[in-house]
Amino acid sequence: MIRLRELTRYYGTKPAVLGLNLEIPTGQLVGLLGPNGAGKSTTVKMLTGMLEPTRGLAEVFGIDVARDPLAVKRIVGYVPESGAVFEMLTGWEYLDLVAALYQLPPDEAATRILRFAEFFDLTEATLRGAQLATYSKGTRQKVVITAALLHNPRVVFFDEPLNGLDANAALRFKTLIATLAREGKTIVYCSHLLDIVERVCERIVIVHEGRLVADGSLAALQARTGEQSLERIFNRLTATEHLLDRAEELARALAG
Amino acid sequence: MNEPARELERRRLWKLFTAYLRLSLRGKASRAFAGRFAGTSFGLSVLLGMYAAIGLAVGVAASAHVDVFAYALLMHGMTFVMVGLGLTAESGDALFNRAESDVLGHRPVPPRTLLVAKALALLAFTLLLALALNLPAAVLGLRTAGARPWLPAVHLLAVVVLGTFCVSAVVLAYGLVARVVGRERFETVAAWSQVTLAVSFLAASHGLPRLAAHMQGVGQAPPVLLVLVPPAWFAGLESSLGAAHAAPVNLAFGAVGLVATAALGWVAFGRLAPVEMLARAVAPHTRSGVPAPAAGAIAGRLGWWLRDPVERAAFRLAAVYLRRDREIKTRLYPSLVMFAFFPLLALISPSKSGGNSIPLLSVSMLGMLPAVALEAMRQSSNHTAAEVFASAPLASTGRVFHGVRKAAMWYLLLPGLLLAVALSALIVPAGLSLAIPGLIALPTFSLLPGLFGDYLPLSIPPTRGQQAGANLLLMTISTTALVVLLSTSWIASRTGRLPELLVVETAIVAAVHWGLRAWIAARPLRPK
Repeated sequence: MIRLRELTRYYGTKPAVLGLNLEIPTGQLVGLLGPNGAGKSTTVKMLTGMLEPTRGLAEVFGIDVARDPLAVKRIVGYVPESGAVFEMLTGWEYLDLVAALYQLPPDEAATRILRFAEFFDLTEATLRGAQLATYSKGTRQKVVITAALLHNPRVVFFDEPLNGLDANAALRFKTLIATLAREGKTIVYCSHLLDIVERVCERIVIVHEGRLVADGSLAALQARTGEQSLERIFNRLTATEHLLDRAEELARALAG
Repeated sequence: MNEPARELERRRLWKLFTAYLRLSLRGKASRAFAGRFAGTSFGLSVLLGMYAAIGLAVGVAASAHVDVFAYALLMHGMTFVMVGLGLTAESGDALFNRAESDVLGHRPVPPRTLLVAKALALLAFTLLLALALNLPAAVLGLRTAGARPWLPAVHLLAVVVLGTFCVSAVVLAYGLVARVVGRERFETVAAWSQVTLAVSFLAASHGLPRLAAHMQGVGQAPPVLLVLVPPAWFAGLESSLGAAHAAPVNLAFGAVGLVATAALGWVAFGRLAPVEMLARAVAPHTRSGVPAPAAGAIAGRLGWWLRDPVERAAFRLAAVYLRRDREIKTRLYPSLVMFAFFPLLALISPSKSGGNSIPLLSVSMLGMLPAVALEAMRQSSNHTAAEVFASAPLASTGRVFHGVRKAAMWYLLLPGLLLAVALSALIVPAGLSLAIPGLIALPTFSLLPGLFGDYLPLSIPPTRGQQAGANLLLMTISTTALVVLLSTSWIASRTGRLPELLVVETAIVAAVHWGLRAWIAARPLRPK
C-alpha cells in the first residue's frame, strides 16, 4: 500500500505539493487528477524516490521513500509523462538497458521483452532493427510502458500513459492495467483524459495547487458536488468560472 | 512579389533572424556558464568581456616591435580559430536543428528564407564574437610600426570580411555535403563535415606560426607561401589600407581575400546553398532507421572487463551514442584533435618538438581524454530520457560511471594510445620507454571525472551549461598530476632512475586507483 502524511515539496520558495495526506490500499487502481501545475508529477516523483520531500512522509509497502529510496525503486514502475527514451538506441537495446538496471538476468529479460512485444503487436524485427528515433509516437510509448513493467513491479505509476497510442493499443493497455490491478498491483494513474479515468479507475483523487481537494469513488464525488460527469466535477473543483463567457469574448476579439 | 508581400517577407526574415540570433547567443552564454549566468544577457556580456580581455592581452603582448602585417596576421589567425571553432560548433544546430520540425515544419516559410535568416544570424553571431575579440586589439594596433591613424577602422573592416568568409565556408561545406550524399547518410556526413571544419580551423592556427616564423623582421615582405593561409589574406588587406608602407604582396593577399570571400559567398548562397536539405531537415522522419553495428557484440567480447550488468549496459549506451549521435560527435570529436597535437608535431618537425620526450608527452596528455569525453557525454538534448537512471534501483551512479568511462577508454583512449605509441616508435624509438610512466597512470586518470557529483550520461541539457566549478577543479587536479608525472619522469630518465620511478609510481597509482574507486562506489545517489 501507499501512505502519504503531510507530504510537502517546495521548489525554492514555490510550493508544489502542500501537506498531502492519502492512503492507497494494495490492488487499488487510483486516478490522480489535477490541472497543469497542480503537483501530480511532483507527488509521483516523490513516491518513486526521484525527488526528496521537503517535509512529510511517503511510504510504499511500509518503506519510507526518503529513508530507503532504493528499496522502493525495486518495487515500483514508472511511465513518465515525457515518454522520453534514448533515441539513438533500438527498442531492444533500450529495454535491455532497463532490464540491466533492474538486475534481470539476460535470458529472463529477453523472454519478458518478447512477451510484451507480442502483447503490444510489436515484432522482434521492429525492436531490434531500428532506432527509437524512427519509431512512431505510439510505438515508442509501447516501449516506454514495457520498460516500466519489465521488472514486474508491485506498484505502477502511469503519467499520461496513453500519449500517442491508437484506439486499439489504448484499449489493450486499459485491459492490461485492469488485469494488473485485479492481480494485486497498486496502480496510480495520472491523466487529463477524464473520461478514461472515469471508466478505468475505482477511486479518484483530485489535487489543486498542491493540496488534495477531493478523494473518493465517482459516485461519492457526484454526490458531493451534485455534478454528473467527472469533467464537470473536475471543473467545479479546480477551474475558474464563466468559461463560456470567456470563450465567447476571445472568439469576438479574434474576429476583430 | 508585390510591395506589401515583399514587406511581409522582409518582416518574416527579420523576425526569424532575431530569433535565431537570440538562440545562438543564449546557447553560447549557456554553454560557457552554469547557474545564474547561464543564458542571460549578463552571461553574454561576461562572455563578450572575456573575448575582449583575451584580445586585449594578446594585443598588448603582440603590438610592440612588429609591423602592421605581422600584428594583423596574429590577430586574424587567433580570430580565425576562436571564432571559426565557435561557428562550427554552432552551425550544425543552427542550420539543421531537428527540433525545428515541430515548430516551423508546418508553417508557410520558404526554405530559402529560412536559410538566409539562419546564415545572417550565424554571421551576426560570428561578427559579435569576432568584434569583441578585436575591439581593444584594433586600438592597440596603433602601436605597431607604420600604423596609420585609421588602422583600427581598417582592422575591424578586415574582421568583418574574415567573418563573412568563415560563414560562407561553413554554408558551402554543408551545401557540398547536401549535393554529394543522399538524405540517408546526410546526418552522419554532416557531423563529420563539422569535425573536419573544426580540424581545419585548428590546423590553420597551428600552421600559421610556423609559416610566420619564416618572416625576417619588421617591414619585411611576407613570404608568398603565406597565401595558403586565409588569415594572411585579411592581414594583407589590413596592411594595404592601414599601413604607411605595405609591400605589393600585401595588396595581392588582400585582393585574394576579397575575391575568395566574394566567390565563396556566391557559390555558397547562389549555387550550392543547402536549401533543399534544409527543407528536409525541418521535415519530420528524415532519420535513417538503420542502426549502426550493435555495441552489444563488443560488450559481450569484453565480458571479462564488464562483469557488472549495469556497467555493461552503460558501456553499450555510451558506445551507441559515441557512434551514432551527431550531437555527441560534433561536441566531442573536434576537441580530441588537441590530443593528436604532440605526435603530429613530432611527425612534422621532430627536432623542434621535444625529441625523446615525445612519447612521454603524447601518452601522458591522453590522461585528460576521458575527462573531455565524459563531460561531452554528460550533455544531451535527449536529457529527459536519463530519468530512467533516477527511477532505477541504483545505490550510486558509480557503476554507470564506470561503464561510460570504459566505453571512452575502449573507443577513444585505446585508439589514441595506439596512435601515440606507433608514431612515437616511428619517430623516436629511443625514447619509447618514457611512455611507460604515462601508460601506468592512464586508467587512474580516467577515474578523476567521477570525483565530483553524480555522473549520469546524457542527463544535462546542453543549454544548462557546464559545471564550471567542478570542471575547473577537475582540470586543475588533472594538470597538476600531469605536471608532476611529466617532471618526475623526465628527471628520472635523465638520472637513469626510470626503473625505480616505475616501481614507486605503480605503488602510488595502485593506491590512488583503489581509493578513487572506493570513493566513487560509496557515494550514494541522492534524490534531487
